[in-house]
Amino acid sequence: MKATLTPLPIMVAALVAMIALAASVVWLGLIQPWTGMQLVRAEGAGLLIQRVAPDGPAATAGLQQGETVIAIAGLPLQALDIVEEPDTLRSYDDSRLFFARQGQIYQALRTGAVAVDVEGPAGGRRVTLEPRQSRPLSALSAAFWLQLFTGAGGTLIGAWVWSLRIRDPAAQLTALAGLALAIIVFPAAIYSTRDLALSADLFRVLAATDHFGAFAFGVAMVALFYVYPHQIVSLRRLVLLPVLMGLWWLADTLRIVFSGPPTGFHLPALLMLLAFLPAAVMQHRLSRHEPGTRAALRWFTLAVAFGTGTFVSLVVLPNLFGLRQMTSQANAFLLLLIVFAGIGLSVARYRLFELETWAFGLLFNLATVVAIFALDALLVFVLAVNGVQALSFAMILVLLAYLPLRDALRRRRASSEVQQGALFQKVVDVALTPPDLDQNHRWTDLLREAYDPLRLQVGAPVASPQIAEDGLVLALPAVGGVSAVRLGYAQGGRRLFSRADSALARDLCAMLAHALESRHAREMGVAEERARISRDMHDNIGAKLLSALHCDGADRKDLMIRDALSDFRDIINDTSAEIRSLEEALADLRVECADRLEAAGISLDWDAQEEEGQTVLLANAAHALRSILREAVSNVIRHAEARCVAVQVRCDRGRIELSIRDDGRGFLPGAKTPAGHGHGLTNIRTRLEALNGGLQLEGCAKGTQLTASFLLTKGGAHP
Amino acid sequence: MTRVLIVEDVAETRDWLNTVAAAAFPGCTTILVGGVRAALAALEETRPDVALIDIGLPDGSGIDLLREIRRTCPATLCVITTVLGDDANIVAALSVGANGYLLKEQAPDRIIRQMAQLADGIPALSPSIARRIMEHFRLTGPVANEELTLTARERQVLGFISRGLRNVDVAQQLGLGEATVASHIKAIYRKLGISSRAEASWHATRMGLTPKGDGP
Repeated sequence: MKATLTPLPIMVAALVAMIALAASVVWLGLIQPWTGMQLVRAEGAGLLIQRVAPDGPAATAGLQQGETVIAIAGLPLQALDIVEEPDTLRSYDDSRLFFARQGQIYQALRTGAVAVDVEGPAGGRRVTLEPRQSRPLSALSAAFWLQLFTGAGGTLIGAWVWSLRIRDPAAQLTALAGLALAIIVFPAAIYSTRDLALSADLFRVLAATDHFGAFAFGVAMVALFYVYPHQIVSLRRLVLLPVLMGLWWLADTLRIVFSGPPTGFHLPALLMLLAFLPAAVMQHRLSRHEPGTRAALRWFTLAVAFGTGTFVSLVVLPNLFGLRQMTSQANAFLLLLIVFAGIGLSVARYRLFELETWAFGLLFNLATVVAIFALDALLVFVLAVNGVQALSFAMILVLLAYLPLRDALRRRRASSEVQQGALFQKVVDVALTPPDLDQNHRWTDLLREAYDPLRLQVGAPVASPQIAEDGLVLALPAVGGVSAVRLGYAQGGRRLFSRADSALARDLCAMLAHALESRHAREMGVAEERARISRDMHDNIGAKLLSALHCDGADRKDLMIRDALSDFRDIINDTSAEIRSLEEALADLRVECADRLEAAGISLDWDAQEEEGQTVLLANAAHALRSILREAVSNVIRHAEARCVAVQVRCDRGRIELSIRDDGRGFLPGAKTPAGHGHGLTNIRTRLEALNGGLQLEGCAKGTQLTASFLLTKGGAHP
Repeated sequence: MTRVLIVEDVAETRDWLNTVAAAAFPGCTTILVGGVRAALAALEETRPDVALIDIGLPDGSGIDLLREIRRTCPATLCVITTVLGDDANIVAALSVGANGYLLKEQAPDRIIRQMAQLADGIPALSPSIARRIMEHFRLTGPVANEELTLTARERQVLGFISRGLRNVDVAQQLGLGEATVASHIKAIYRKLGISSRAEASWHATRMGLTPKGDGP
């Protein structure tokens, strides 16, 4: 049985190979002769010295920045000699001339001492330059490293994609394309950053290799499009393409059949790019029922369109039509890397559902840029408008069209946000569903409105909203009484679930949970209040009415019934007003006691601690306070024959100490109280026990004193 | 001869109020009616000197009746009676223009005394009602109009009453005569009435001081 290769060893092997390859490229770049000066195009004849390395041979020879090098070893220098990429030449004759001159210059540099004709501000002079036979690392420019990075990056991405799906033809083609990218870029890195000249043979080999890589890249990309995601053309038939392109490459390398690089190299590049257009259309049509595949395809198309499209328009097209390339080779290759990254992600099917949110915007912007360039080209070539004016016109015209279009799109997106606001209102409706309606039903209706899924069913519980099956499914958790739901195929199957969708789901669930909790809390509060009222009524009023019913004297009956009515009002007031405080209760009782005592001709001396603020009372405590004072005063009025009553109230750490003293007759302990009148205090004693308190009655000749102490507030201290 | 109109729907209580009124105003004539319609009919025939109006009447609102009496017979002493009415309703009645209120479950001698005091122009005010009135003035805020704000003395009186002092005790504390204290209380009632008519605020509604008079 074949051993299956896991991604990690493949990646490690790829990395090692890449490092080795990169090292050899660097080595090749370093073994070239070093002049220590950077040459660029000059106004007239020769080449301008743009920069001189401080410790290089040019500096030693006395060459300075700003001077013009007219000739080297008798050979007059031209702009042709420092051309970055031989592909930009117009014909094969130019290529041959170029390589011949490169050989000559190289030979001269390798001799060790070379005569250089220089023209400076002081006039012309001849200088002997002694180039070093190898270059320092610092001589390798940023462009070199950028291209090295591009090549390495491309190959590693290809290797990664292949490591995930070894047998998949699409992944294999991607890996090949990655390798081809390296083959394009590494030689280009060496010759495009050369120090004036390379050996003719080396240069030819590097150029040919570079073209080979380019053809291979093109072939791999076209083949990929005809094979992924659906196999439109069988692999056997596809062999035709590399054969054809191989022949074309051979012709270009040997410089036969065609007239020059434009037709030999740039034309096939353009043709290959165009070849994938019908494939793209077909793939889209075949994928219209599969949201997952469609999303992968969009990544793919986007990457190819963006990267390759800009590469072609910035590099290939200008060369094809004889215009100057608009950007340096190195930057252009970076674009290819971007293509490649997109393709890799697509083939690896990596987080496809992220694409939806920003891909459209990106494509839109890209289309705008292309439109500007196209319009510009039209104006310049067809209408023969001046270059700068043409570009300005193009930009203005496109912007005039672009801005309203963008607004229209933004308004469409905003309307979808408005719908979201309405959704949140519906969430509250779900939470407040009356008991006779189905809450689950309302919730699924809301989800249908939000996402329009093809499938909706009860699912396994999850902790929080998650996207599953690469964006095909959105799983929602259970919230309160609502069950967990699994949604499939967003918007009628037209798109995948994205991160925005799961974020919305998170918000909806959080809101529902909060609303349900609030509803529950409120219902609990209402239930508690009802229970309290009924408890109050039972405890106090019920007890008093029962006492009234069962006691003998008519006076006493009246008193009990009056008390019950007054308690009734207290309960009603308690529920409608805010919390009852000790200070309020004492104030009410003071007036009542004073009135009653005054009616009996007894004066009242009230001494209560003035409390700052409000002490909230336990309901039982309020009743106990009232009962004690009323009972005590009643007793004094009836029996004591007193002249004055002194009431003292002290509060400490949630406990109250109450004392009621009169200066009347007093009573002897053990004396019998008249029948029917003794029960009041007994009832109160029982109630005080529940409040962790007690009551004492002391009598002496000078009068009676009743002291009571009990809990006032929830956290009160114990005796 | 004092004419007393008694509006009360519970028959036993109506009879009891009759005896109480007879004790409070010796030699008076009483007109007993059981509801708002009957009361309005009685008002067309005669103008009473004193009206005892129950807040909770079956065929209408006692407070609306109060307002009607205030309109047609401004000189009548209007007293509202209640047993289970909460503070909010009482303050609403006071703001509509009642001269005072009585709690029907009190002992007869107390009620007689209070009624006599009312007739003498000494309004009674319980601590909880005083608190409510203080709350109302606090919530409706300071107003430019002098008519609507309480003076410092009035606020003091209100404060003492809310802490449980009776009129006589307040007078003692402030070194004033009882009559002065009584006139302060009457001024407070008057300002309450004006202020709650002028203010259509949320607070007035909350305190039960809108025309409907319904408490929270």
